Amino acid sequence: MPADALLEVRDLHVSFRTEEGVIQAVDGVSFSLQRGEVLAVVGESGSGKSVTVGTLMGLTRSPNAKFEGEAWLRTGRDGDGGDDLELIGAGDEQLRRVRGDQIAMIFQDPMTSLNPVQRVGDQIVEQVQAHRDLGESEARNRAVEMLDRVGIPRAAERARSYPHEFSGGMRQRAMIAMAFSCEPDVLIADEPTTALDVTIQAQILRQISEMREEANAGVILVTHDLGVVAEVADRIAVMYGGQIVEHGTIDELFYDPQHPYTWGLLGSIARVDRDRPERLPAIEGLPPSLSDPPEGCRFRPRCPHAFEACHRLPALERRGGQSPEHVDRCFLSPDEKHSLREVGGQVGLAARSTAA
Amino acid sequence: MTVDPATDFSLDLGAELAAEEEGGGRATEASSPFRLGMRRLRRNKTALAFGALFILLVAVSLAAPLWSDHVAHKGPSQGKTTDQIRIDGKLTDVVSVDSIPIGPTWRGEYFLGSDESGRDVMVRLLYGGRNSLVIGIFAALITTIFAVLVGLVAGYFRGWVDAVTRAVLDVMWSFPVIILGVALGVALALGGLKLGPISIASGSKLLPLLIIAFIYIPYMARPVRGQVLSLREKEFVEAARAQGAGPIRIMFSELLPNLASTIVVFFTLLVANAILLEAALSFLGAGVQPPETSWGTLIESGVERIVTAPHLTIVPGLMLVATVLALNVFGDGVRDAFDPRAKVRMEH
Amino acid sequence: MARFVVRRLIAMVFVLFAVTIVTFLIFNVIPNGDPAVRMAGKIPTETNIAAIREEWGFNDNVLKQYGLMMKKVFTGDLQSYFTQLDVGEEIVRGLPATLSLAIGAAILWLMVSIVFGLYSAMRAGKVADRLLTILALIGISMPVFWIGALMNHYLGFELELFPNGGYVGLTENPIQWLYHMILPWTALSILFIGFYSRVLRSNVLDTINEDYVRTARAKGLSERRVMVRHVLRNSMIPIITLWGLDFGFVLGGGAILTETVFTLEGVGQYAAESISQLDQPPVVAVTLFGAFFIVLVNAIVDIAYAALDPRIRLEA
Repeated sequence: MPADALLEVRDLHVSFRTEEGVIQAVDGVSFSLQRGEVLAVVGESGSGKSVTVGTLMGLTRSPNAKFEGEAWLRTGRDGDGGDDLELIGAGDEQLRRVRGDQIAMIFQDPMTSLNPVQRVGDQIVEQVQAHRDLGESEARNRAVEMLDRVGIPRAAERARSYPHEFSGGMRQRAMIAMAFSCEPDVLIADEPTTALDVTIQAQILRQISEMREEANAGVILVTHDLGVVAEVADRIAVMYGGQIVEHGTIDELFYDPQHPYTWGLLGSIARVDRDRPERLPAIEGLPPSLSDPPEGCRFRPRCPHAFEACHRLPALERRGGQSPEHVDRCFLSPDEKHSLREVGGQVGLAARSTAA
Repeated sequence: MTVDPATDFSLDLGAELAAEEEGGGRATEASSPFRLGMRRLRRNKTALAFGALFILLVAVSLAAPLWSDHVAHKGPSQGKTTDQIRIDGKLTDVVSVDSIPIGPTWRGEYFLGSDESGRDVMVRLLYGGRNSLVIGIFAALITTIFAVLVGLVAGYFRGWVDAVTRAVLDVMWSFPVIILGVALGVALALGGLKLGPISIASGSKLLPLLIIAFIYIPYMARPVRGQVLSLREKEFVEAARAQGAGPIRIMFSELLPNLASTIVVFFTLLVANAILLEAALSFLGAGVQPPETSWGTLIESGVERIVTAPHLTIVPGLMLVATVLALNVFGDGVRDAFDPRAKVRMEH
Repeated sequence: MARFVVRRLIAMVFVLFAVTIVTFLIFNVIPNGDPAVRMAGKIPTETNIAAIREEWGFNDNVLKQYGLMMKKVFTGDLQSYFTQLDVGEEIVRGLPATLSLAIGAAILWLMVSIVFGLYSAMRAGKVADRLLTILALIGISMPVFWIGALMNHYLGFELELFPNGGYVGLTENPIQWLYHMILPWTALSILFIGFYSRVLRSNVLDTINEDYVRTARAKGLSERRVMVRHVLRNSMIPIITLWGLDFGFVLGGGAILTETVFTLEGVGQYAAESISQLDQPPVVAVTLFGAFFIVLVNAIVDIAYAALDPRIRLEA
């Protein structure tokens, strides 16, 4: 366990009992987060990424949810390993105390994620007062200070506004301000830019990056958009069917991707520096059912390169990657991976019908 | 009432995931919201059971003449205080010398007892129930027809048509329901109604029926109008217009089917409320007029004699409550089934 | 906000005017037959009818009739031909009872509904919730005059736990006043509790799933604060509007039935007696004032809603 690992998730399993049966949303996820780094968790809807991070915050707790595994939050505010908290098994009150204080979260849609009938400044004050022993005016000052730091002009005035009086980008900045108001060590951003204009997206990502530096925090950025990832991430975990299928640094994943699903994701980005393809390639098929997953490798039904071995579930381990931390779940040999991932001159996933 | 204890109501990621699964993972047959609603309703056994109970109670009331002819051997207005019947071999006065009518005998004649004039309570209950139910159901039907028309027209054409409609509805809305019913009832009681070609005599049951129907129009027209306003912005309406469809076709072929769920939900509520309103108006004397009966008039005369013959109040009231309750439970199930939000919330 | 208030009040005046016209239409235009005969009530006499024709302008045109009717109502120059009593005075006499009934019941049902509704929502799906739902459905299925009559008879007359109807002024004897109002308040509230607790339950369940409640939890706020400041506070907003409207409804006439059954001798009972005698002048007056109350309360409620939910101020 590296010395300044802030967050360490070990073999997390999350399942929900519903009308339709048991849904295994997260099936054996492990990763760690260091101080000052941005870990991007990438995947499509249903991959389990939102449930994973929601579980860290304790937001998925309910009578029909079952959890296994551990998630250690090592914030040790006093610097010598104290204050370690195991999040999955923590009591509700313990969890409540670190939520918003040491580990904070911002959500996808700032319009619906802010209370529409409460002034923006008050919402920040509320959070601050829940965790710090501050008086009314001190808390207010802090709220205005935070709004200012995220670049909201005339912060003192705007603090008295309601969310619907802000623009989309401003609202998300306000959310960021709120999340950082108690100087958290870990920030989870769940699709923070998905609901925003493309032009605003870059600004918000930059904002998150800056705040991360100032607070020396670690950021988990959940997204389905690799373009977003390319802007700010240090490491990437690709999730599919409730599991991590590839995990490595940003350079490793963009230049030496090991898993066919990753190839598919990379191949589906429109590239500015290449000719426009006839059709934007999409990964054929549908996401796997979480209540009745495919036998063996979860990606097998959609993978053009599947072979007999794929009926066993590949473990997440280093196979062809350059560094020991670049791990994946694909039985293909490193040579096969190198050749198969080149489609039409760039990295991508071949169409199923044309694969050998 | 219809909630599955296994589902949770806080951050319902599990349910959302399952809903995604249901939507994206497997093939879903294209079904209109109305058909989906019907399917969900069919799964709700409780609601269906109470719906059946309601229908049963209606059928029983409609069979009043059968009971009257074959079981009680008395019409609703027949009876004398001096009548006598045989109970356990003894000949008893139907109405005692100090004017106390007998309570339920649980026999064919005077099954539920007698009223102060020697009339068979059960017979009057059934005939009265028939009136109450007919008035309630048909009033709701008339309201629905007019409200949907008004709502469609106002919502679709907007502009001044809508402004005028809204103004009229707002003014109607300003009168407390009972007061309006009472005002109209009193005003029309003596001479009947004469509005242009339409003329209705004063004792007619049509009067309370129309009054009730009229009063509830704003209560349904508003939601319908609201829905039409939002529906008309949807692409399928634009597409129809682009195809050259005229307003009438758009309103009836495109918009109306989408209103089906709203209409069904409101209709059940309307019937229940109409029945209760009729009872209230008749209780006050502004609804069904004697010699006709309804649950309301029965309760009213019962309350007058509640000290000596409480069964005269209890019986019609219980029948009314049972009927409206059955309808409300069913209506509740209807609302759960047709409410689009039910998909993500997974209550049913 | 001020502009909103002004706009709303102006709209209110227009509606009030329209209400007077509709009332006039109801009583003088739509019905069939001789309006003078109608006005004279169930037992008209020739002299009465002639006098009425003069006074109310039935020999003149419609506009003059409208003007006369309004003048009579608003200057208090309205007399019942049946009881020979001044309508205005009777209404004023009955006001305290009606106000006591309406205000007391409204507060009672709001408090109880919040408790039941919130409890139901928090125990959603469990036995307690189902039970309360059944009770609520029974509540909205019972006619208030029926349950009121039964309560009055069994609890008041038979068991003598409560007085057998009647009203005692608050200023006369507060204890007796309360004692006499308990049953009427309860009877009147049952229906509303049934309705409101379910509306609140539904609102709370919707609100609990809202994104901003998730954010509130993510901020680490205590569960109590989340439920009260975020969930309940936001769920209540539509309830307050409805509550205001129903309060206006009860005050404006919905109390008729309860007052009659408990012989509270309020405005409602006065109206009920007039109705059964088909005595028009009081019914006209009561109709107008009932509607006026509602329109006024409507405007107040809209303004209050705008105060509570800042998003509304932008519309209208």
